[in-house]
Amino acid sequence: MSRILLIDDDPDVRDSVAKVLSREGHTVTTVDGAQKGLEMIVKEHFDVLIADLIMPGMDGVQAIRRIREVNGGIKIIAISGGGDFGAKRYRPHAITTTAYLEAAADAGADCVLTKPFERADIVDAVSQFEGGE
Amino acid sequence: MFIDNVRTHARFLADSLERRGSTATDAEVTDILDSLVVSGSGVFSELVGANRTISSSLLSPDAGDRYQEDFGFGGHGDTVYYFSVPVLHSGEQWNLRVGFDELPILEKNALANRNGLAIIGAYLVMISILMPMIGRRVVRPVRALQRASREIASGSLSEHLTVETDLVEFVELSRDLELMKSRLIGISQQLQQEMEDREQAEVKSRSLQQQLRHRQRLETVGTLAGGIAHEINNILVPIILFADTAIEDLAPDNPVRDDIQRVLRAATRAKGIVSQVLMFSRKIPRGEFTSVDMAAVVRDSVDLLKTSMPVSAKLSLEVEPNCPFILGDPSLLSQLVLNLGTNAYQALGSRQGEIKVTLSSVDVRRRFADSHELLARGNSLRLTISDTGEGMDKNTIARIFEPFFTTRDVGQGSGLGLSVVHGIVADLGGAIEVESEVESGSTITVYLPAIEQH
Repeated sequence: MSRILLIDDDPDVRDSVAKVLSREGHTVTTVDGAQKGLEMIVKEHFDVLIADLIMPGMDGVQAIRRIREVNGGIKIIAISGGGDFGAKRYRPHAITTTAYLEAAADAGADCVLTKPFERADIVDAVSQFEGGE
Repeated sequence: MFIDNVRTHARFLADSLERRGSTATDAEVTDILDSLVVSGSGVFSELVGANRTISSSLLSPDAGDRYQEDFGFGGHGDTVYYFSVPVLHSGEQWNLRVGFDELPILEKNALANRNGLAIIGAYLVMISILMPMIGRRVVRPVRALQRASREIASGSLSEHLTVETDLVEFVELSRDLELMKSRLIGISQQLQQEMEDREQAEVKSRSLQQQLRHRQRLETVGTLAGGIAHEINNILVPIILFADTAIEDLAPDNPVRDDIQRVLRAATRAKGIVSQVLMFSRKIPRGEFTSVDMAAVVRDSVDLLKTSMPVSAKLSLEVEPNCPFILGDPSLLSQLVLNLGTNAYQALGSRQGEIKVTLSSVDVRRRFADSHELLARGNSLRLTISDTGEGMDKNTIARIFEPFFTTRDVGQGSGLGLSVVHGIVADLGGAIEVESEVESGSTITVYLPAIEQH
């Protein structure tokens, strides 16, 4: 069961994702911005980071890179609001815009999901990292 | 002139008298006066002084009986006129009067008048003889020229000018007029051509402007759509996740579960529409295109379609070997195939039908030579999707690529699928055609410009 840090500016997204993952037995901490996320990373250890790369008023990629610097082994799931192009079932993790993908690669994300994702999608995304622990 | 003569003589004599000074006697003066008469310069003459008058002793031989009776100068109305010239004689101021007879003058005038009238009469006769001649040779051609120039002025340039004349000037003039006319015709044709060209250019520029405005509007909508889509996607996350956990929390036989299932399905539908709208509004820049193996994309998409379609529908795929690659974006292209397939599947409805997908290489250069630059360059890839579904009538076919146009019931189709397809085909420089017959089925053909295989 992982320790998950979730960064998203939308409270409904935070609460719903937290609820779903808690039910799987994970410990979920939520913050509404990258700055607060950094502060959390410094204080506690997390196994997984779930964050939107595009956050208002801040460079998500930079923030995530800095988080990686502090917590090297953390797994990063990038969730994007960019829209699903209908081929989500075609690949395990949603295809999103090329730009977003490149940004995710830049940030060092391990996985990309597009909002809105099914419950199963986010659950699988987190559990795929647990095997390696 | 006679009168000038008299005047001159009178003056001459006056000067002679004055030169004599006071020494001239009355007898000598009389001689001088007589010489005037004798010379024929006057009828009689006299020297009129303050107190007395010295007269010539002679009357001119022409005088006639009239003057014998009235040896004096008459005033106006008589036939005698006189000149008066001032003379200094014997230290006093005298007047030398010379009288002359008007009658001969009158007679001469009458003769001159008679002569003048005769001459005028002769002229009139001449003119009345010449006029018809002139008329024939000059007036008629002038009239013809006049008519011709009036016609040209009024704009009718088609009439040909015919002037019958043997006068060189008129022939030349009419030739010049014809030349001017043909030049005018040339100029007017030029002007008309220029106007047509300008009109065409305007029409083109207007349509280009319209296209530009349309594009800009689409872009604005695109940005807007992108923003809205992003927001809605965020909103859908809690809807989908909470609906899911709610279903989990309810007992399996709880009827509320069904309601929440429907909430979930509605949310999933919304997700589909948002993604279509985003696809529709987003434009992948050409610079990001890569060479795509369309055969592979089609195969993968058809596999996907098969999993989402009921088993009752038959879906077949024929891919020509060695199909060329195309320049594009793989996700766009798979979206293209999926949307077309979905459309075909929806057309089947509840029937037992068949969907055929084919991919082949064709040469349609000549067909699209004037309309599609990329298709005109080389070989093309042809993708066809045909179904044996309900088909479309002419009105439907005309609107089929309109965004949000759908013949489906609410909830069954957003109406965006084919407009997305159309947008993708346009972005790739391809062409799309629709054939359909009501109750028979439809075939949609997409042509995409092929590139050299890598």
